[in-house]
Amino acid sequence: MRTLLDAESGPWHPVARATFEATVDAGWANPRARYAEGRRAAEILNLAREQVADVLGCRTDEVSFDSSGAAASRRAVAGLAIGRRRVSRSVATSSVEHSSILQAAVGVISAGGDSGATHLSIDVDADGLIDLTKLAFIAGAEPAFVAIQAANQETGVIQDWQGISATLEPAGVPWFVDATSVLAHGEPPQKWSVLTADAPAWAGPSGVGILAVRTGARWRNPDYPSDAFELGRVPGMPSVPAIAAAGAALVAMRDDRIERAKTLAGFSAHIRKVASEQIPHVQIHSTDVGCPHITSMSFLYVSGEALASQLDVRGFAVASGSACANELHTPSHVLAAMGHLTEGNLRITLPWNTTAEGVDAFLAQLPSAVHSVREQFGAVDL
Amino acid sequence: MSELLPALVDERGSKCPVPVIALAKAAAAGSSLIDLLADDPVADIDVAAWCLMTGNTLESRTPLPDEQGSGVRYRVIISAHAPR
Repeated sequence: MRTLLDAESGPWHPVARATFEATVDAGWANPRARYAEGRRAAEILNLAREQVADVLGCRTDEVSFDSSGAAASRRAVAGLAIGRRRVSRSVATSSVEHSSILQAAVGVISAGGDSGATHLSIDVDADGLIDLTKLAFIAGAEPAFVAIQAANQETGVIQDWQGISATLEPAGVPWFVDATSVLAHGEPPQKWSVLTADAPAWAGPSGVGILAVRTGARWRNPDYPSDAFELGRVPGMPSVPAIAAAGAALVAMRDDRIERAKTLAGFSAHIRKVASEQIPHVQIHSTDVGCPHITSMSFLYVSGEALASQLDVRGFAVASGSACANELHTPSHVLAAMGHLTEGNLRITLPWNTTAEGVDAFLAQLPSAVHSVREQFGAVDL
Repeated sequence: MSELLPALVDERGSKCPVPVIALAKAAAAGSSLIDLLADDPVADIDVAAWCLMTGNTLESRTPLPDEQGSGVRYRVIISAHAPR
């Protein structure tokens, strides 16, 4: 019996699987082909586009599909940098964005070859929230865009969306938002210029990302001239079955999200309470007002990798976001930006079908798993 | 307060969480002033976080001079009793 506590990579929602299987037969063809099979694939693809637009509250023709959330985010960054290059060669991101966004930002700055171009970084406080005063200051410098995630993928901290759009809108600076962490169980942000998301986060298949570009937003396809797939925003024939599965899962997850968010928030609060009461030297990075399914915490005198392995042996699939789990031995940039403990980190993201029994089984093992890793490090009595 | 000679804990070459464990062990052994030498960049965050979590003080953070190799000296004042 395995208990999955890492929802970042699945498992697929049953609606995603059923839709995928049906669409392998019905939607295999090139959606741009003129024959009947192609038109059928195009219909299926457009249905998925409508489903995503409905959930996001945007126009259908503003939605394109990419091969992952990370790929979509890279296109978002590159396209906004090109679209606004006459205004500014500098770009701004929060310091806690997904690594794909930080890497893409560094990439557009160095590729531009303009010594005046800079990557402006917006700091966060100990809770992981960006400083709106600093944001206003940066908006005044008129960067090509500002990238601020809807919520943090490691800690679940939700940013002040209204504060962000109220700061950026008057300055005319586009807001690029990575909405991956909020779409599974919550409302999407509004008032963005470009939005990206990754389908596995809402129990859709991997290999599907969303790139939504508002009508009138100054985004240009970085691959221009390009082909006409995905409304001219993403080159190459898309996987219609995978996209159909992602769209169906997103709607299925939206339809019962209020009830599910309440249940998952209860589980997460319970995990945080038990961990802080029963295990010495723990720092909890997530709070009750964050994403309902995410809890990040770090234990002193423990390697996160060893702890995740220990839990794996005991039947639990849990991710570690810690420095020690990373072959480069660089600290988690998110926890570092918050000034929080990075060693011995566990990042629990509860899947949609998490049960109370699964949570209880995990909590029955967690204290002794931490203890056992501390024994390995000779650090029990500290 | 008399002049204290800091206890030297050289953890250069070891990766997290080992430097922080060595720091905690020196504190538990009764040292009230510790110089931790470490070259894992993670120590920058985790030594500060350890001080915060255990109620001790990171007095200074000094990059080591090149002739002593890479790394950083963290001078920590142990003001709290060894935690639990």
